[in-house]
Amino acid sequence: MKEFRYPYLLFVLILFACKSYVVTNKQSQNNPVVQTEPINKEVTEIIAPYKEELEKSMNDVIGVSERELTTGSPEGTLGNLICDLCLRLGNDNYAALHNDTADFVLLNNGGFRTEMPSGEITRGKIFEIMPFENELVVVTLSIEQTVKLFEYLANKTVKNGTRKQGVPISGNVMVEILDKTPIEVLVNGIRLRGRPYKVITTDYLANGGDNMSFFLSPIKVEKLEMKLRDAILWEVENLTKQGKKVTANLDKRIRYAQ
Amino acid sequence: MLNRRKFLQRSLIAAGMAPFTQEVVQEMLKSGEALKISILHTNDVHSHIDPFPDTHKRYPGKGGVQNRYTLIQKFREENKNTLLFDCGDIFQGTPYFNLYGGELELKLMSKMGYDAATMGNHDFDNGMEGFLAVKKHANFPFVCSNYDFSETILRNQTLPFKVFNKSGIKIGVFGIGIELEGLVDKKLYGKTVYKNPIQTANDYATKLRHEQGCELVICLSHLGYKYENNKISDVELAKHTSGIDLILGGHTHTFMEKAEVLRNSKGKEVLVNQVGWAGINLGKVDFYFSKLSKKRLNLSETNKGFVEIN
Repeated sequence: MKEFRYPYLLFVLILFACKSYVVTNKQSQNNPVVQTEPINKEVTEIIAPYKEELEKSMNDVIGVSERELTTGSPEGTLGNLICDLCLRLGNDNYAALHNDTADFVLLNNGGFRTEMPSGEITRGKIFEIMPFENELVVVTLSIEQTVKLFEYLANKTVKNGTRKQGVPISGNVMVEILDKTPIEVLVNGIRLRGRPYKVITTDYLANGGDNMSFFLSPIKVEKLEMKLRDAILWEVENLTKQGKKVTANLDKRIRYAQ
Repeated sequence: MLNRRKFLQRSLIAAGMAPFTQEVVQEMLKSGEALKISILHTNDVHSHIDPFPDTHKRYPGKGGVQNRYTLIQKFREENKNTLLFDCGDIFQGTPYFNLYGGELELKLMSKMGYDAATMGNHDFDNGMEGFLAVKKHANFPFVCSNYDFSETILRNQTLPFKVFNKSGIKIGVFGIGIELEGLVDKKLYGKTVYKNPIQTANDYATKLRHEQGCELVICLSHLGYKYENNKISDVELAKHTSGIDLILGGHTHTFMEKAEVLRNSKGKEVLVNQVGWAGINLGKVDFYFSKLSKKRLNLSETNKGFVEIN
């Protein structure tokens, strides 16, 4: 056996003489974060004062939803609900502040961060749906930019899209799409004409957010002195006062040509 | 000392004729011939401090900082050579952010022992002023390599890269953010200058590997996993750069079971991983290192070791 000793040592030397580290193997496994023990007291103590104050205001039930409302493409019930309430409430403010009326509402699905569940709606849920501090504005667009708006909408709308696809719009608009192109656009039942259009949207989108570049060369932008989230909160609370539930339907306001 | 069977096995590995098996690596870990570096990571936690309620349709009882803390501690106990990163969009998504501006999120990340984070687009939601106002609650650095903040109030508030040393292994980390124009209101990011992700990533990967002598290079990215068009993403970044071992991602809220193995511009392996959003999952990637010389051992560039992405 002795004759094996020398080559053995030589190999060991070669194996371990060099000190630079090299990656030999890789492993990966992502892990679900689920309820586990033990509870760490210090973590609880950090959260506690924040949570207490927050729960006081957020756990109030402010309304009831008839069913789950979600975003979607070509249209979603959540987008329809919010665009429709923005048209009503936005125009109330627009009339009061500027003695004017907007033509329609355009928002973005990416801005709605979760769905509206069926049943009781807390103030906190509205904050989850619309966490941003976005303000409502009216953007007056030339007819050319208005056409671009509908081209953007048609291009982003797919038949059975994911959460972020599709572009929510108010119900006084009808858009028919073929091959990612708007082939028919009606605003209040009338085809687009060669005049400027007044669009209610958020300051975020008016500044070109979500690549809405057609908003970047407006004729004018007017503030409505109202946050989008406050508009949703007001609508839900007002429906509750009237003894009504929150609901919305799909009404083919955006549709694919047959 | 190695017995003869083991010796023969090692010799075959050395000659590039046999793979490193799980068994061999576990033995080498025990004897100190190999080291394991564990990378834990999150992205797009979006102010989710509490777990989802048990009645939640999709994620009942999932997530929550308390549960994440326990899981992180478990992994740290398993391996002291563990690093923990976040890939941005720490802020925005629950009233905790609306009421406290991100203060609690950063306090808790500090408590959990995050080693570094990069900024996502939503971390600008309260403007750079809002970010700066709560940043003092973070005891870890923000690593941003392609946002040039030099003309803004965030000047010198972030790092272009950071090198960690775990049991003698140097781990270099840099951060690649998403284009803010068209995504974030200009008034929120002001005079921040956006630098090309691929060029920046290549520059820092080279710097970390060759100037800083890092054995492992990690990119914290908020570009998004991949897109239908050719917009820059983690997958594109992986293909068009070299010198990066691991790209940890965010933004697209992509749930991956495990890291994906891709090939970089030089044909070498690069891993890409992302763990959805809201702290529902905790990502984990382990790298096994040995002191064996690559050259003498005749390990090919893509190595003869197992890539057990299981």
